[in-house]
Amino acid sequence: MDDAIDKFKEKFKEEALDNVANIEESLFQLENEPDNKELIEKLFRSMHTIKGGGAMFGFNDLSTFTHNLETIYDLIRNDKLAVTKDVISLTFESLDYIRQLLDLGVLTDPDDIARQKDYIDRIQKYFPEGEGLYVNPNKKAATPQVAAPTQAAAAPQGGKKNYLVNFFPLDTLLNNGSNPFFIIDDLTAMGDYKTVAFINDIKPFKDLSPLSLGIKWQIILSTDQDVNDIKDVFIFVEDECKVDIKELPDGKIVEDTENLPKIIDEAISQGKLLEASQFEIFKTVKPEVKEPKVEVAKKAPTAQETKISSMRVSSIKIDELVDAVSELVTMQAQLNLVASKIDNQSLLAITEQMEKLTRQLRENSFELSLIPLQGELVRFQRLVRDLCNKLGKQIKFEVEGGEIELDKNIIEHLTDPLLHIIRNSGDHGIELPEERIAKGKNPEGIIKLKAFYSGSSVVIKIMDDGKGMDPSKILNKAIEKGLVDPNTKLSKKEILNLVFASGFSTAEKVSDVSGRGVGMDVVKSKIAEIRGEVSIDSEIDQGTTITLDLPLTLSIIDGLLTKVNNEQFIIPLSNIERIISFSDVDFNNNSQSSMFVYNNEQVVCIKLDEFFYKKEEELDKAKIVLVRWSDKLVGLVVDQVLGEFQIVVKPLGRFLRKIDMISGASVMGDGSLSLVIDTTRLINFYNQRKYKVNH
Amino acid sequence: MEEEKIISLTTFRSAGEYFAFETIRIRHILENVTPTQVPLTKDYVLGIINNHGNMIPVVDFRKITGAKDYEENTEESSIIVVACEDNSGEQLVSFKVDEVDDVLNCNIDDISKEVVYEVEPSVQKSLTGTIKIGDKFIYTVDIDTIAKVIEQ
Repeated sequence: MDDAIDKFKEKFKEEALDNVANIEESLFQLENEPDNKELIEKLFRSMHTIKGGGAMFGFNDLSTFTHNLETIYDLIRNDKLAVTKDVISLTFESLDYIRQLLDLGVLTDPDDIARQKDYIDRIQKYFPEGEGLYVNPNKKAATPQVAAPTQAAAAPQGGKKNYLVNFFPLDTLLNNGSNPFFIIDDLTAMGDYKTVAFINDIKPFKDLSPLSLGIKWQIILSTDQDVNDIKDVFIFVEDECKVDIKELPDGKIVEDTENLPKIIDEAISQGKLLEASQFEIFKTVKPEVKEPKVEVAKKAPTAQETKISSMRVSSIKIDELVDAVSELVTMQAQLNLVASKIDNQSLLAITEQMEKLTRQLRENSFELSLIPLQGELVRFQRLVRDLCNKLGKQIKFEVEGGEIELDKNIIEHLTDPLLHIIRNSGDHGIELPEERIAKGKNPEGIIKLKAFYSGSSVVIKIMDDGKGMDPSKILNKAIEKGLVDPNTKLSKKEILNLVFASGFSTAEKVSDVSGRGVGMDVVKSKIAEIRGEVSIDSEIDQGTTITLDLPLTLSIIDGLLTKVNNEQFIIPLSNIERIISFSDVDFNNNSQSSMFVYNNEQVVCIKLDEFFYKKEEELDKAKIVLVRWSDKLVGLVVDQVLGEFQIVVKPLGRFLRKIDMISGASVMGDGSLSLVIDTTRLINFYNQRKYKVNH
Repeated sequence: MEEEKIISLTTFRSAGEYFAFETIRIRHILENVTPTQVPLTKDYVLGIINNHGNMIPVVDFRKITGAKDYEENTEESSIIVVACEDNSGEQLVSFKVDEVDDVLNCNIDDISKEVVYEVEPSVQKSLTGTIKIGDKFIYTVDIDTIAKVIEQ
């Protein structure tokens, strides 16, 4: 029992957090277009949902608080309060507080209660004087107060207005546990009314289902409240019914005893819904001749089937599915192997069909775990906004390619590094407005996040137009820290990349914003965990660009299967340039040399036998796999090339994390394991070793 | 309350000595399979094995404890898969031992905190206690501590 309630609470929390995220997103838009009524409406509704749900699931403090916040937006939508920067800032802060409240549940700590009061007081400063909107936290009843400002708002317009409210419950309404009569009661409590029920869709008794309704209501309502208030009645059943509210001409409609019953009777007998146009006759004193009947009946909306266009699935379930499919792919490879050995035509045919299905299933299930980058962007936007306030800077955050989709596991690992990079750009990169003006730049700095597909990877660039990095300063600092030999000559790119060396960024200048002791080396290792690469480019006074090169998905790659010392290794196909025979290469008659010339380019060779196992193998039959390493070619010498395979990469786990040049392992068709080489890391590691040996 | 003092231990033999893991941490006991070697790892990492699609490193318990005198493979050689908790959930690691000996229930109070047996200094801290069963001394091994050594 308690479990069930906890489950609901969890669900509510999850949904509330979604709502908070939606509000946050809308707020950013609202900041740019403060007059956008639709946005305000959206904000209001999201808040209302949080408030209502909060009260229902025992988050009473949350409900009270949100009610106050909601009131502000109620004032705004009724044009009684303007959208100002202060209001938006306050809302942002309130959202953070709502997130806390979701965690805290019911407040018990007196400090927390005092803080809540404090927040509410701040919000209520915006309430117009004389409107006693304050809800005592101890009092539960909140609803009467909601109506107060709107009633007041509508009153000056004077008199009652007539509306035609279409209320067509969908079948899900009853599933949801809502009672349509309560909704009608709420509506009819707003003023004088006339309800019309269309029962044509009710199924014959034998097909009758207790969960499907089949009734449509039309309510002619005469009320002094405005459209928003009518809409509010449906706020909790929005998705479970079709609601349409049309304004009717002023005047006595509901009270009418002559024309109205006629119209209604006709509509019911023909099963034709009332149209707002039919009420035109009430507009003028002289009743118009009724329009000739056209075939509108066909147009009348038939109860629409509800299609669920998306649904929420726990990520664990997707992980399990992807795991199972990965296993299936492996098993399929085994099946292929066995089938080709047995060589039975019908078995082969089935195997082939199976393989098609497996591939399709694999593609579909991997697509499931892709989510767009968009979802994370609001956090960055928020960060930049907070940075501006804190540092007194003016920064605009631009996004390009937010729709790019990435494996959710990658996105999970990406958020922190990206936050760090953006924080750095804002804190160290973008200058203060005065400084920027002195440099002849726009006082408003720009941080731009750009994401795009490039081959089999996704590239994310974070660019700022700030002061950039000075290579000589970086080099000096690195020498000072003993990270590089003062005598080595380094290219600009190599120098810039020193900021990723561990021990480079120490919190020398601790600011509140960045410099929490985590440096770019942490960013690099985090990105490395998802097999990504980080690089940096910077021009003094023009800005810095940090580029993340990420794999599209973590778990499946095309690879070249090779053998080294009788162990199987896989080299990702995306890195391979070409395969050549060892014997075709001219080593300038020096068999000890590891350099050769290929297409006028000097290529360094790494003999994997020697490097991995300290063995000297016969190289006559060996092959050289040429791979790209930044802008150079490097040859990896392997004993044998077995062919191209599509493989599922399994991580080696935390115990072998140090061996980062092996990014994972894969189960082959025959059940054996092969190791997946991360060529970039392998070459980096090789170079480091050589450097150490030579010094 | 009394019950909580009893823990279940799985004992095993490694290079002539007896050790024990907490049974609750053991996920599988596998026969002696040959792992796939991973290059450039420490010498006590024998490689990885595939267990239901998970890659599990195999650590030679005899080598990591610095034992000198042992037979590489015997008929009883086994691989014990154990679980370590970390932030991201359960991670599996496995140990190759000479023989899985017994599962026994033991009162916590009967485990002496003192360990006189000396192993490789880096691993010494992983031996957390000694139990005497008959004339056998069994050293209890803390999985999380030894896991940290492997991770280094």
